[in-house]
Amino acid sequence: MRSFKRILPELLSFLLCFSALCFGAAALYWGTAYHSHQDAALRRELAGSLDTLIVGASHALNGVDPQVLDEALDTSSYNLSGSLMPMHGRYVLLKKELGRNPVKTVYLEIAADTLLRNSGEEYAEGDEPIIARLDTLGERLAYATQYLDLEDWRNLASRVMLRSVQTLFKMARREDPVQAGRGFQPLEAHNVTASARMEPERYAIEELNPQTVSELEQIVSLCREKQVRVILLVVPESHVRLAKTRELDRFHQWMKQFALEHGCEYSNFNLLRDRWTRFSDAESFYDEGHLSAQGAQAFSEALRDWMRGDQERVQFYESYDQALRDNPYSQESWEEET
Amino acid sequence: MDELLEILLDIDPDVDYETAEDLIDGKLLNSLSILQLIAEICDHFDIEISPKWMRNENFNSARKIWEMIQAIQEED
Amino acid sequence: MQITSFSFFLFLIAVLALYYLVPRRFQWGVLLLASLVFSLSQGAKQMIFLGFTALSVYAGARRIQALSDAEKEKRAKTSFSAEEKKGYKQAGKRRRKRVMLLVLLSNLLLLLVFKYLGFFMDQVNLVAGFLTGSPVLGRVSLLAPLGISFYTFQMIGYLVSVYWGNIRAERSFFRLLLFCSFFPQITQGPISEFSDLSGQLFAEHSLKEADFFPGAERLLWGFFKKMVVADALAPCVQDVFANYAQYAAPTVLIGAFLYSVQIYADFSGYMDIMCGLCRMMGIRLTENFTRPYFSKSIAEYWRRWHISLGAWFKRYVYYPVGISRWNRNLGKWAKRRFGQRLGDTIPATVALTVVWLATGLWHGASWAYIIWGLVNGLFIILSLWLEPIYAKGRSFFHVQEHPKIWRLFQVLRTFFLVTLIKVLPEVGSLRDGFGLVGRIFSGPMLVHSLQGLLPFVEWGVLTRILFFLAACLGTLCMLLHSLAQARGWHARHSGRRARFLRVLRCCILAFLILTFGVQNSWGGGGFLYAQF
Repeated sequence: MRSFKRILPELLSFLLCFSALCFGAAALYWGTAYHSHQDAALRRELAGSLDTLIVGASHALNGVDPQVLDEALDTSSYNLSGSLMPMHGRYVLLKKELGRNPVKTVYLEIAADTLLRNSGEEYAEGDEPIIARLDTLGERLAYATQYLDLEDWRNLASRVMLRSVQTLFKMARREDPVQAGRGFQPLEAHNVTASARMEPERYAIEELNPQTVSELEQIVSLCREKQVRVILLVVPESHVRLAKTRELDRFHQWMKQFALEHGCEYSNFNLLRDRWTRFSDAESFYDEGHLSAQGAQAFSEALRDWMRGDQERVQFYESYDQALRDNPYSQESWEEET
Repeated sequence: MDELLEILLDIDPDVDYETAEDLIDGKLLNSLSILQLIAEICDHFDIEISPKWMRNENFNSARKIWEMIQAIQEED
Repeated sequence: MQITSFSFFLFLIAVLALYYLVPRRFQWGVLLLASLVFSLSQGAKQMIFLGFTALSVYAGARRIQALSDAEKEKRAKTSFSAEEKKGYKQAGKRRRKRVMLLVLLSNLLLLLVFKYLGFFMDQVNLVAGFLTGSPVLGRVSLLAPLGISFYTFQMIGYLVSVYWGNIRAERSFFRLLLFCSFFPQITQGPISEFSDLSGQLFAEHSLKEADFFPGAERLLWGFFKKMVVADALAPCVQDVFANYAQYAAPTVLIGAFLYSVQIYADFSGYMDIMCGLCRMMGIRLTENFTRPYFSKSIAEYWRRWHISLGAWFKRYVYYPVGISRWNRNLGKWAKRRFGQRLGDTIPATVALTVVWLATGLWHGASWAYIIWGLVNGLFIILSLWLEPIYAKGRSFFHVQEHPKIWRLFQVLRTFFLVTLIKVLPEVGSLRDGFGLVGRIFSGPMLVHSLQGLLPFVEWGVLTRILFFLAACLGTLCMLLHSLAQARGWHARHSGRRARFLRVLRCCILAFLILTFGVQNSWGGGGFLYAQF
């Protein structure tokens, strides 16, 4: 032990200095709001006034405009969504907001890949922004302790350090801190019209992540406890994406069954009958899976109409297979297979 | 030893082999000149130098090379 | 277990703690246990083949030693005539040689099967296809045990050294197993001599500040080079290699230079990690690099790059071939036919050709690597042959060897040549390799924007720019570090100021590794030389 004492002073000095550097960097990032997801201050300001929450990953973040819903439905909405937001992250943020707002409705966005993803393989990409959106160091530590394994602590630390460097750059460029809207982040449009070759992908429902399903049940259970209406929502993707993916009806059936068993509503806007005219692959999408600002406007209007019960304006296919027959890209993809 | 010095001077006359102690480490003998040296030693002293002798310490000075030759002759 | 993973980091802490906690006479046991755990983490197959090599070489070396000792004892006790003595010695040598060859060939066969069976079958199918129109053998793909090229060569070196009588065979199997499986060097070397490493591996080491902290700093420096520089440049290089036909000449040249930086940062970074770790334990590993890009010739480059491999080939291939009787006779014949100069150069030429053919094959089972090896050999052989002409030219033009401008020219010329040769087998096929090199000389020279010059960086995304800048800054730091070393500047290790500066350097390195390096390693994190 005497030999360890020799190296202790310098080792401790290093650990202290390094920790100070890292905490300083984290404090710079968490203490400012230069990144678009840093909305903790805004949510604190709105606390007590929100009656509708939209929670999901990037499909919802870029696809649902709370303003469109509020103007038509006379609600006060907030889009809590985040890019790659894992299910446990949705639970934590939702629980926080349900605790301080008179929420009556929660739109819970679920995409086909949500159920298959394993956040443990994403290097804490979805977890880091959630941690940044919490209010105190205690909440952050509690989240990390509960939901991240040891390797992801390192990955989280790396992401936070990079954010702090980006924050420094933004400060140096004198960028304004983020003026967040109600959480909604519109994207620019790109033409995602199919290229010459479309390679079909199979939706592997057998790879459903049981942990994600369990966390989804936890969210539904929480909402039921608070007597909040839960609507499971599928945000539209491009016609090209739909034409390429096989066996999506397995996802659709699973969702219908889940909604039935857990007393929630379910609406799949990928199956809108008029999607071929309401959305165009040339203008309504940022990429194959995400709506552009224009597409988000169209979708939010469709959601508004559905919430108003306007069955003339909003009609649905029964299945993906049915939709596929009207999909302008389907003929090509069938020819590929034959 | 004189014969060895003659052989070394034939290979590179610019080196003072009587005093130099870093023929290999100081790159005064390179891998080409080592092969030339070995060929001349084998012919002149009628010995076979096996690879086990090919270590830097055996070639760093004329004296060391001479000791190596004598050791090989004794072995034979 | 990836070297850049968090689990390896925890593994290192555990090994270091245990190493200094156990009684010193058991320290080598801790290293053996750690090495076996490390090998096991690569898969059970790893253990089987490693075990075979260790066991066969151990048994072979012990047998050779026993035969040698018995012969010496008999010669001492019995009075032989000169003829009888010679005959007895030769018979003994034959017996020992048989054992040595059996063990050597069985281990080489294992290496050949794993690394070259696929290549060999492809060539058979190529010829069969040419003659009969269809392949005759099915495609076989075997995953070689990690580091098989490295530890096989290291153990062959040990076996041959025992056969030559340079060292005595190690009596303890477990000590030899440690030498074979020592985890800091099993995947990428350095290839050590038993006489150099064993003394340190089995000695008792006390914890010394003078070794621990410089070792820790070097470890961090190695991780910095690998994770912040090499891993960041990897996708840029891959982009240029994949799209060289569409890029302008300056872009392709930059891509090639970036590859030179990447592979140096990757391989020397690994060496720094392992040498640093070993130094923390009081063990000095063989150095594998001494500023290779400061070389003034290709020959010098190969004395500074992957030094232990070069030393191995020199000791076990170049000299045995070079000083063999048949090669000397070839030299004598050439001297009689063509004169002194050719007579002296031909034996070296033959030995060098064998060495570079073997070096190319060692690096990869493909024609691309064979050609790469022979191209390197060609440059070295040509410089041997043309040295008298160069000397006359320098004398005629009054070019002195030492002025800085001439040395700078030599360094830049060598770096350029080495880069062009290096990329040949890395682009994909040999045709692509030559295609890329050709594009440097024949592609369009004008570039109109930064995006056009460096299309592999996403200039619109701040994060991507930051990672590229970090890699460039890291490259600059590596250059400055090498320049400082070349001038003999060393960081002081003792004194309060020295300790303070070291803590500061380590903090900065650790911060940069955490910020940029960890994220770069998510793409895979493997080392380039581990594939060999």
